[in-house]
Amino acid sequence: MASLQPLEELPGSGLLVEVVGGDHDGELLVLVSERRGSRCRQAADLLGPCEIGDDVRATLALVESDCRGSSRDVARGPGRIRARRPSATRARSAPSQTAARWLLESLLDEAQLASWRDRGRFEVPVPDGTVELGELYNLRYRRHDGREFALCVVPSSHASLPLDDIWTNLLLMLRSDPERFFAVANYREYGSFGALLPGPVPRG
Amino acid sequence: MGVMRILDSSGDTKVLWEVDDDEALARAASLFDELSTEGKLAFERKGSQTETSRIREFDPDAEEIIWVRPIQGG
Repeated sequence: MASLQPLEELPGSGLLVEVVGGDHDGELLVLVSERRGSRCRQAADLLGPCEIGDDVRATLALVESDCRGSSRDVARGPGRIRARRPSATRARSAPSQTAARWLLESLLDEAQLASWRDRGRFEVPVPDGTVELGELYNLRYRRHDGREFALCVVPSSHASLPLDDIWTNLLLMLRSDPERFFAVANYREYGSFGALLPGPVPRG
Repeated sequence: MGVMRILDSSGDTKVLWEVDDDEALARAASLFDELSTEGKLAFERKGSQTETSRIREFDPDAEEIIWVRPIQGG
């Protein structure tokens, strides 16, 4: 039987999990409960169409059972499964995520680590503000003058990397060469739903 | 002992060397050049956990080198 490895709490109240074992080993799912919001559905749409087998359904039934009576709203059953990753991303196994998590956390300072463990995101200071890492394709750039932008920057071929390696990659690039980071980023005003604009991002 | 961590689908692939092991040192130096040619970027971690700096040449005395990929707009 397959098991589910939680990877990331998604903004808007979704949970990204990886199937470990069974016919769907390595595939990623977004679990959505009845309280999940529209942003989680956007994330599910990015991942692709839903297609699951009986082994996953059985595991989800167990997850649902385990969560009954718990205050944590994790998974509500197979009917709430939204998506799976295409097979090209099957390399994201649980051990790879563990290794990536260890490396990322070893690079964070005390405040960043506390934020990461508490909120699943952390801020990286740049000369004119901060960039928050933790929400893929939607990095929050807060300028000291109050303007905010949503940035979309990824490592090349990022779909083959464990999620936490993506954060490590972006963290090191931001620390060493923020100008390059802002030059390649696509962006829009934070909170807007307009199309992304090509960089460079307006600086404060 | 030095270690290179190359971010990949396994999390990271580690390559180790000792400064007094000529063969391992040559392998590490060769790999450094190869990854640089591929466009990957190397960071050396120094002293504190969070102190990293970009390097462009292999440093046999480095304790830890982390390889990342170039970035692009998504």
